[in-house]
Amino acid sequence: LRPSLELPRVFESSEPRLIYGFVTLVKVFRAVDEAFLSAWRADQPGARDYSDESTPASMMAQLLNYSQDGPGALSMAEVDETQRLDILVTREWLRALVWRLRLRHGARLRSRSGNENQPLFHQDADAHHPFQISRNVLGIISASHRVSLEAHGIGMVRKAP
Amino acid sequence: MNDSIRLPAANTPIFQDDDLGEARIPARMETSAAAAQLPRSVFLPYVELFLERLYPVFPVLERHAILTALQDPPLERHPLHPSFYCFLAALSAATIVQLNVTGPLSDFDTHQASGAPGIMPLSCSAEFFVAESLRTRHDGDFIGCADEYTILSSFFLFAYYGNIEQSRPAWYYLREAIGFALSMGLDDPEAYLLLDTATQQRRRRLFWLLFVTER
Repeated sequence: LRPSLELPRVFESSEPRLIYGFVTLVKVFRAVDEAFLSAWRADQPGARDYSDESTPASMMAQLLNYSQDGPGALSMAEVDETQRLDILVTREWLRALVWRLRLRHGARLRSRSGNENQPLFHQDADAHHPFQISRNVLGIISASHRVSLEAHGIGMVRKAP
Repeated sequence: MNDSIRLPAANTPIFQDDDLGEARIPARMETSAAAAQLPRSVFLPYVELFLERLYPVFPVLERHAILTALQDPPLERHPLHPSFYCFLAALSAATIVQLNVTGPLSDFDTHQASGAPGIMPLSCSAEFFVAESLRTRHDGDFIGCADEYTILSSFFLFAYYGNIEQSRPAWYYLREAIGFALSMGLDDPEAYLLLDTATQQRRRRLFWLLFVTER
C-alpha cells in the first residue's frame, strides 16, 4: 500500500487519545518510503539492482537523528502505554535497520573500490548507534508494564534483531 | 449517528435493515444458519478482552458498535451476518494467541470444561475459532460481497497465523486483507467522498492499520 490517504482525524473520533497514538505510530511507519524499500531490496542477498546505492547515506541520516523525535516527550506521555511502547520500539527498530543498511552499503563501497581505507561508516557517529539503540530499547521496555508488552504478541518479539 | 458498517447491497432485498448488528439472513436460510452458528455468548469474553487489551494496538471499528452488534437482545434467534460472524471467530482466535490466553473465558467454555479441570476445552481454543471462521466464510458470497468485516476477518487470520509463527498463511491472509481493501477503494481518496464522516474515519483507520502492518 502507498500512503495515498489522509490520516484519520484525531478530534473527529470518539476516542481522540487513542487515535492520536495510532496516528503517531502511522507517522513513524511512513518513514518507510519507496527510497527506504528500494534500498532494503537492493540489500537483500542475491539482489542485483544497486542503482539506488546512493540513497542510504543521505536520506536515512534523518531517521537516525534523535533530535528529530516528535512528538515531544510531553505529548508522548499522554499516549496510551501500549501504543507508546509500539511507537518507541518501532522507531528504534527502524534505526537498527537503517544502521545495518548503511553499514553494508559502506562495506560494499569498500570492497568495490578495493581500498581498505575507505571508511565503513558515513559518519563517525554511526559506530555508536547500536549501543544507543540497545540502550533506548532496554530503557523503553523496562519502563513498561508487562501487560502492555504482552499486548503486542509476536510482533514485539520479532523486532529483536 | 449511524456508525455501524453498512452491508453490501447485493443480496439485500431480503435484509431487513442495514444495521450490521441486526443484519438478517434470508428467512428461509435462517433456521439452518442460526443452528450452525455458535451462540454469541461464546465470543463475548474474547471481544471484551480484545477491547480491553488489544484495541490500542488495533483501533479498528468503534468499541460500542461491536458490543452493540453482539449484545442487542432480540438477536439470539437470528443468525449474525456471515461476514460479522466470520470476523468474530477470527478476532477471538487472534486475541487468544496474541495474549496467550490459556484458560476458558466464557460460561460456555467453563460449562464444556467442567469435569475436566485444567484441560483446555476445544471450544475455547484458537484453532477451534479459526476453523469456525474458515468454515463459515463461504456462508455468504464472501468475495463478491466483501465488506469491512471481510477485510478484518482476513486481517485477524493474519494476526493468528503470525502469532503462531506460520508465516506463509500469515502473509497470505495479510495480502488477502489488502486485496479486499484495494478492491473496496480504501486507498482511493475519491471513494471516500460520498461516505458519511464516521464511515470515512473508520475506513481510514483500517487502511492505515494495513499500511503499518505491511511494513
